[in-house]
Amino acid sequence: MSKDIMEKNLENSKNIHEKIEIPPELYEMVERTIDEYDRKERLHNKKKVISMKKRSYGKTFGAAAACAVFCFTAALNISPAFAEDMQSVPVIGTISKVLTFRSYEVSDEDKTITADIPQIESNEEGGYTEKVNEEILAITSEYEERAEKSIADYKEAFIATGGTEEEFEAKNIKVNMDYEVKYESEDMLSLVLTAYEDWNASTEVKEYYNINLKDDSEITLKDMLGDDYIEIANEQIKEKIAADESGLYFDESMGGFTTITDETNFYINENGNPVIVFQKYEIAAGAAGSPEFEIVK
Amino acid sequence: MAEKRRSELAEYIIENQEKFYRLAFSYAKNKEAALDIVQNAIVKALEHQNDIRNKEYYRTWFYRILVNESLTYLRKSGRETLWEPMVLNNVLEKDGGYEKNSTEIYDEVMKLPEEMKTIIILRYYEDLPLAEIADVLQISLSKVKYRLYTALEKLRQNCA
Repeated sequence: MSKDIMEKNLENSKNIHEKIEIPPELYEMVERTIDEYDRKERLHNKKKVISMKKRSYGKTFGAAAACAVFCFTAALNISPAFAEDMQSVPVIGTISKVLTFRSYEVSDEDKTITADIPQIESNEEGGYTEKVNEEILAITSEYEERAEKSIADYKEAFIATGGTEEEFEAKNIKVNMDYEVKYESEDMLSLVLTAYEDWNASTEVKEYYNINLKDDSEITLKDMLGDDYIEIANEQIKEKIAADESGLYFDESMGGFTTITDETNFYINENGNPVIVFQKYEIAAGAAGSPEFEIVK
Repeated sequence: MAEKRRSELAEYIIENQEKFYRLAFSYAKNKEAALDIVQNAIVKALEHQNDIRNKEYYRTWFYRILVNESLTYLRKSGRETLWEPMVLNNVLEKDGGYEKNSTEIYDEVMKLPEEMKTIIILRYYEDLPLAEIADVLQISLSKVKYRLYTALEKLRQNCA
């Protein structure tokens, strides 16, 4: 018997497979299982929103005081949370070059937007810092616009499927834009810009900026680790993944870690070492968050 | 009023539930067990849905969960399932012709060892490309091909 006939026979026997009778209970079971999961998930999300409200209280206090004010200089020390962040950063020299350029909180019945948008002091025109400043402004304004639209779309779908205005308002959706100075010295500055909508984890944006303040240029991994930066980083990352016991990292068949590239994000930590950051889901399951690896020179 | 906004994964599951049931049934050979297997697979998929960024990967990923659930069931139930050809006979009688042969082939497929059976079902009944089957089973493509050809060889002998 040739292979062709056997394969044809198999294709024909698909009919038999498709005649396996579907019990009517199946549809009801599938529906119920999904509904039940959704209900649990919603309860869980509600809890998350409540705890988030509590946590952000200290920060919005400062932000509200400076509501919608353009401030090039003073905002630096207004927010207690920000001052606290700064304590953990070794600031050599006197004043930080990073300033909160705009700080505001806007609320309507659908959402609350809080923002602390940074700018970096720069004397030179046309340097890297200026580019970073422009990019931060562009990213944040675009993010806000897009978030407003996606929340409006969400509301429309919510109402269209039987939800009420009150129910939507009770969701108390938040949009947040903020930054953190990871490292600052006379020579180097490392800054992370964060933006997220709390109802949709996939909207989170993180941008990493590492600046050589001496010549106003971008710091690359090569600058930090030398010519062999790819091998050095890969080796240390692979070592840590191999030692990991959580089982959350994807293996290669699922698109797990293979190598860093020039696009791989990093910041500089308080030891002055680069910390490589992967996006959520990039090399590991969602539960692992955004995996970080400090690379020691 | 309950919110009926469903995730893409939920929609994918609802759309393909019959396929899932049939696959589970080919292992369990029993309605209640097949329903259990499908339900367990759905719960697992929903719980881990954030692991999958790309919805093009849903099928591979869901079949992986489903096949694992089916095999786990067989292991737990501790029985080599015996395929009873009688179950389908009454359905088939009304169709004539080539189906006689198809029934025979189908019965032989059901008698294959699980690892070969899975590959035949995914390839010929679910129309998955071999590379995707490799992904579902998390084995190499050459292993899939090897198993497929041994399975075909075995079927050829048994149907001769």
